[in-house]
Amino acid sequence: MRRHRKGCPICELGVRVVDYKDDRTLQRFITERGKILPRRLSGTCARHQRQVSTAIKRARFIALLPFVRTQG
Amino acid sequence: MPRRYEIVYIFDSAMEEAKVKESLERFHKLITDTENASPVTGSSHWGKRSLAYPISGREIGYYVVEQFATDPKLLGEFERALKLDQEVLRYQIIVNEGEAPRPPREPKRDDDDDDDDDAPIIRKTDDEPEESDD
Repeated sequence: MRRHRKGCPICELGVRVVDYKDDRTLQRFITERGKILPRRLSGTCARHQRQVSTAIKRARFIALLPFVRTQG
Repeated sequence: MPRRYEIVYIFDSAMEEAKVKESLERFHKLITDTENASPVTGSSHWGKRSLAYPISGREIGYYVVEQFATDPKLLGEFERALKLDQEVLRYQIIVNEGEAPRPPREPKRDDDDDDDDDAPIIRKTDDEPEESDD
């Protein structure tokens, strides 16, 4: 059984550099709790995963994204 | 040799817009050099925005994003002023790699770079051998 490999979502967007200010896009790469999604779940290519993780960390610092989201 | 930076300021949302502008002017003076009279190349006021988590008790911040070019030597004094300012809840300076010229990348050797990260041999044996079982 061959797994279907989906393309990198960032490559599909056609952006060269991931913007840390674009919290809408970055939201797709964190879990409900706020953790960074691993590559095996997000499907990003290596280069974009690196960019995404840096961008998420920057976005967290300027309070665009939560470090941790606690519910109830 | 000036470098390009991008800064995000988060001001106290209780501040009026005129006061924010005044503070910015003050900060701009610190990054202004004799040879570089107008360091700020781009600026956008996002206005009030709710913070993802409270910063020093505030739930809302006034965001300003600016691009500027300055000599790295001036940054120390600039950051000191930002840290001392009570009205700046937080700031973040990053080297602006956005439009900066990059060295040309070496072209890939082969044209089959689409599937070189999952060779058929690996695919047959196991799915993800390096995956940890947490």
